[in-house]
Amino acid sequence: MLSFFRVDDRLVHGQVVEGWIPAFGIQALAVISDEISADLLRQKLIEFAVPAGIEIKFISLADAPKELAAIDSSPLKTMVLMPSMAEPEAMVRAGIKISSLNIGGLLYSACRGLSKGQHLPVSDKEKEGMKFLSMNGVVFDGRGVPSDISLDMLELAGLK
Amino acid sequence: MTQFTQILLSGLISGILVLDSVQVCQFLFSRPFFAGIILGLANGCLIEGAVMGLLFDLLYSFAIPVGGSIPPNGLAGIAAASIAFGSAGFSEPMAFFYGMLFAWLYSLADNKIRIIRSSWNLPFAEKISHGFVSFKILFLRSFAADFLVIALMAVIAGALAMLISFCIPHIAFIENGARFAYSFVPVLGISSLYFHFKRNILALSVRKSNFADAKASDSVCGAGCGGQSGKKNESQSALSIDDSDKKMLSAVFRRLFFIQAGWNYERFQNFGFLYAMMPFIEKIYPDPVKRKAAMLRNFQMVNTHPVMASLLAGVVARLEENFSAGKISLQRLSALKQSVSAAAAAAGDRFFWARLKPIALQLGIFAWLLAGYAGWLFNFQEIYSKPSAAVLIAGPIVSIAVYSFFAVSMRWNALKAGYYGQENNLFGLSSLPLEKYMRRADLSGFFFSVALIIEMFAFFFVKNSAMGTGKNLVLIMFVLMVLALFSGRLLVSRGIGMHKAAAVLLLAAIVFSAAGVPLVAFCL
Repeated sequence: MLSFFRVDDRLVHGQVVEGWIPAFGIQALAVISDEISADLLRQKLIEFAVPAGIEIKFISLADAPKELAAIDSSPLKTMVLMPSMAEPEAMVRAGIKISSLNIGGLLYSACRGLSKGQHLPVSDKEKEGMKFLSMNGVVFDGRGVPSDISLDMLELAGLK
Repeated sequence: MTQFTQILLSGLISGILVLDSVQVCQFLFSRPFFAGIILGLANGCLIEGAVMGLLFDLLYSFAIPVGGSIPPNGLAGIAAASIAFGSAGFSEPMAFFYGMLFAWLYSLADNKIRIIRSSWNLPFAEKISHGFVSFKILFLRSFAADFLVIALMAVIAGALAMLISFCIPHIAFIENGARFAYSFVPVLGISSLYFHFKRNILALSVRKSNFADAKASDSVCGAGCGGQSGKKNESQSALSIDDSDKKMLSAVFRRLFFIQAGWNYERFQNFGFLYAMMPFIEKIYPDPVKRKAAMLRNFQMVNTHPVMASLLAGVVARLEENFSAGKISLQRLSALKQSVSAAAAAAGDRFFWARLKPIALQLGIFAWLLAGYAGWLFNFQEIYSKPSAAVLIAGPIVSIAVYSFFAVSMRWNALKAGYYGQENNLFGLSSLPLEKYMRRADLSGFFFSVALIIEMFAFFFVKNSAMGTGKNLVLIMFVLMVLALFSGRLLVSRGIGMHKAAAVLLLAAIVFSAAGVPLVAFCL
């Protein structure tokens, strides 16, 4: 069962293992990234960060539609983690339905203007991706951890 | 002492203590359990300060700063609360909830300071490329910012509290509501501990069964990849430290206590990380041009747990050595740095923030109990003798000692493990006994939580039989207490913080109280 999509360049870290996994009763993680799915050492590092009892799977973009369909029909509540805006964009183009997309990590900081908007702007490529996703019915949920207030990322990125 | 000097003194104390929470060391002198005693002393309310401090710590046990999120700050809370109680004449319940307001306000202010510090990055990078670097001034500026903001906030909290108690008359229904809500705060805190650790225990019993393709990758990674084979590597690496390495490692170890100095939202711990890396960088790059490039590289984004940052420093130093010897590419270096920092952060957040910190608090509570003090549970100082200052201080000292023992020894071991780590023990990560610690922490945390619940119910009955309270009342209170205990499950499983829960409880209690419902607090 696909229960949650998140964009965060840090992938698995404290906010995921102490925030989202317990709050939503997540049982499995799926990392979608061409770079990681071809890099066994980094996979091992990510696996180290995952608490015992939580499954993790690394998927390349090309395999994503097939693999996500299989995950959706499995009984495990799965959280999908992606390092950048390029992955959800590619997935929606491939026909995968994403209704809500959580934004964390660098992009979250960039959208909130946490660096005073000078040194860490939202890139044009990311803006394009967000526009495309929002036209395809994706709602952005900007939150680091579940107890944060959900922020409207489109508005913060100046796209509204 | 006049009230004004008390307030100023509280500002000074909280300004000094707040440095420990982010900027330096993280020995947890900033935890409200400890700060409550010092601030209570300053405001002439030692016992109430200690009790409110413990309650802040208990309520915010799991409000942890993961991945740059800023939870309500218990230190700002206890500062405002003890000033309101000791210097402005608030009742204890009102002072506590007044403190919660400032705990939240400080987290907003902290957010702003960290945004402002982001603008220090580019000028500093400029200085690095001009070859002039001094961390002292920058760190002092960073300390001053945190110091001044919390000190100012304490003074404002004091002035406002005095104004309120001067201008606004005592409103009975608000007082009653607050008193009722406050008597449930210990139960809320205990229940959040219980349900967190219970959930962890349940997760432990689920066996990790990896997906088939994840298993297949084991063979590629080599036999040493698993978590069990790490021990051998550790003993090997312990032998290979020579004297010059040891000197350099201990310099880095000392510098790593400043890892979070200058924390900013653009690059997180980059100032502290570069400061810690300097001995390594100076050794690896004698050439000034290459050294500058390495400094700028290590001044990029760093986001990890403050204790586990030692491991990252060791790993990055080794990667820099490999890079300077032409063994790996720059791209590989930064990709591995990112992955190691996330893995180390996850482990550090899980063990130190989400397990050891609350467990150290529980041990502090047991120290109080062993010394014969349990009055904080229901405020029943009337039937138990007042605790001495020595007993009160013993609790937080136990708690700080336990936490710091593990944190400081892990800082040293993780630095060594990272520096001598290899790919087959995940750069030293799997040679550290983190999984074992985590399992033991979950088991002890769970049993301590159960013990706390038993203690709570035992004292509830002792107290009520001693005071001869009416049978119906006891029954109602009992039912309410059980309900409050199980509310923790609801909140924990939805990720709702106890700060919000207590605020909602307060509002509900005030509304009921205003509507004329007779609310009886546990303290009676």
